Amino acid sequence: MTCVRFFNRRGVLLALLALPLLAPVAPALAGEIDEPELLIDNMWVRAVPPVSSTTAGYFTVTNTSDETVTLLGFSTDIAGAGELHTMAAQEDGTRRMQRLRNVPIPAGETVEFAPGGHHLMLFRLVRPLEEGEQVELCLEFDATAPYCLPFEVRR
Amino acid sequence: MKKLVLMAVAVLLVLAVVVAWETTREAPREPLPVNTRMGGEFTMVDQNGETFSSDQLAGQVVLMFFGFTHCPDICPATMARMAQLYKQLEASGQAEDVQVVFVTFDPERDTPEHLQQYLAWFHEDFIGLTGSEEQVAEIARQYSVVYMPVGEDSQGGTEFAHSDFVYLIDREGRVRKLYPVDADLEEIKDDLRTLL
Repeated sequence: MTCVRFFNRRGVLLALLALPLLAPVAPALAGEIDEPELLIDNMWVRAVPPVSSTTAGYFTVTNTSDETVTLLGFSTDIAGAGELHTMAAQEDGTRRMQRLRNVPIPAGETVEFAPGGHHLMLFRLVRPLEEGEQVELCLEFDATAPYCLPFEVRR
Repeated sequence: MKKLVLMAVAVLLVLAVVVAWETTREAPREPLPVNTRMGGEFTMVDQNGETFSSDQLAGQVVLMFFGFTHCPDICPATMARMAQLYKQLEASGQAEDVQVVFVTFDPERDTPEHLQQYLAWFHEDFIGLTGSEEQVAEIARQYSVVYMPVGEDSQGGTEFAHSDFVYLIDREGRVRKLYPVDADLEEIKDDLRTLL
């Protein structure tokens, strides 16, 4: 099966410019592989005060294949640890953060990581993040090599 | 005869202006209801380490939010939105009598110094309030804020389950409206203007 990974426009540009570097982690750009199709877009990390050691990352992923793909986690050099989290509504009307061991992306569906819901939790930031800079986060799925993508730091 | 025609034209013009004014101006808004079950006097500690009394907010229209600075998602998102709103009010010359207040329910980690560094990044005019656990519990009770430590995250930090509303408080310290954290900023600004 011929499969192509879709990135947002900026992602495509960066991937093509850095093709030799990305080839080991993005083999789909170089040829045919048996991997599902994912569209990943709107990647950003929240800018927080320098005194904060935690922040959150967001993106949208659409699985255009006919099989469920599962997000297992992510890694990044800018934080000491990264986990998948969500804000879950409680019976008493409060909300609390809960760790997710994985997040399935069902076939044909879009899953949004957005403020107040699913998010990439970054613990122990190694340095303050500057608004407007791009930081790399590598999303780890069960059926593919990690997707290392630029996330824009936004307020 | 010519005078009569001129007078008639003048009268018609005045009438036309009056009719146009009456039909185009917005109907006056109903005043926001007063929530009599929330609010009251309080004493806390501000981001400068000084005792802070609710009396110091008298005469100000207040946007108050309860959270904790180690919260990675809702709290910085809400404070960023408050900063965005406040800067818009500054640009239109309406911020002078508006005060944004952040109240922590995590006084152990959110010391005055920490609050100062955290809030100044959003806007230097914002006030941060902390205090003893008893003071925090009391102000939370006054505003029906629910917060509960629910254990530690994987990195050893305290996690909280908490309610997350923004409170609009009038010049007399009365709660007039609660907003969800993703409320439309235009709605908040429209409400604010009725209290200024």
